[in-house]
Amino acid sequence: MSTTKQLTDDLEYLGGLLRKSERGASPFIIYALWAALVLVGFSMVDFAPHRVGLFWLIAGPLGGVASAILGHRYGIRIGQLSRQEGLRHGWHWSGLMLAILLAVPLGLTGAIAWPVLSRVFLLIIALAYFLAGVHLERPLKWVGIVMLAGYVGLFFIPAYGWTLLGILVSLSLLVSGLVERRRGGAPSR
Amino acid sequence: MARRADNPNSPIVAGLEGMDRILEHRTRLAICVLLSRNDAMNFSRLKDLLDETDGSLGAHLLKLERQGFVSVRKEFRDRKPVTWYSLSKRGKEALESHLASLARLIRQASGGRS
Repeated sequence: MSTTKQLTDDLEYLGGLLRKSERGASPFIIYALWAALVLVGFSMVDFAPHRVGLFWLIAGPLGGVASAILGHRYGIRIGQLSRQEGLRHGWHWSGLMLAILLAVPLGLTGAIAWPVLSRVFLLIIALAYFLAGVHLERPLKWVGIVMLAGYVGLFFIPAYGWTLLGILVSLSLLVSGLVERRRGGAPSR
Repeated sequence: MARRADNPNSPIVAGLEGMDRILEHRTRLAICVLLSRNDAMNFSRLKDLLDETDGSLGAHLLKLERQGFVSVRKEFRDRKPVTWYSLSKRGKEALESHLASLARLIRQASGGRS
């Protein structure tokens, strides 16, 4: 075998190995955690609209920290720790939280009515999920698309639209997590 | 450990400059590349990815450890020993130099101008 051929083979082998070593999607428990939070948080828009802000103010950051801990534990369990990957996720989701926080004054000052602002939040979150699906972990792309479809659907559903959307997004998160687990991308915990 | 060129004007010899004998073995090079992309990996994860036997992988890792290319941390999880490996600063430098030499060699072999 010529040196060039051997070098090319070695590089192809290394490339394949790096692809194989990608950690894939997050563990199912993180999907389940956010499915539960979304179900409660979205339904509250219909049933307890005045407490939605407080709920997400607490549940959002706590869910983020819990996800980081669960992701780290997953890394320990599979034997692969990458701070860089953790940071990528951290920056992405922190960016989402910051964008939402920065939009809150629009509601507080009365520039935008809260029911309208809720839909703007939904668009921001849908975009964040879609982009996470494109750049971080593929299954989230579909969750983002469900949210975008739900945003459109809210214009046509007269009552309990947010509750219905919460159920749909929760289901899409659970299904995405389960499909990924079956594919072997991530174990259950 | 880096190779020295006898005739630095020769393109092939120049390409070999910076290559490390330890990393010429595909498995050891693969271990270092994997560790360069992650902060740490344990023995069983490396074994799964590289599809090596315990003995063979252990021998390669020992060689890298003796060379100072990887650092080792042992711990117990659920009463089982787990060994974690990370790429040391020396290992990172050697890998970078080795990969740069490989890229140079390939460019020269394919008559590249870049």
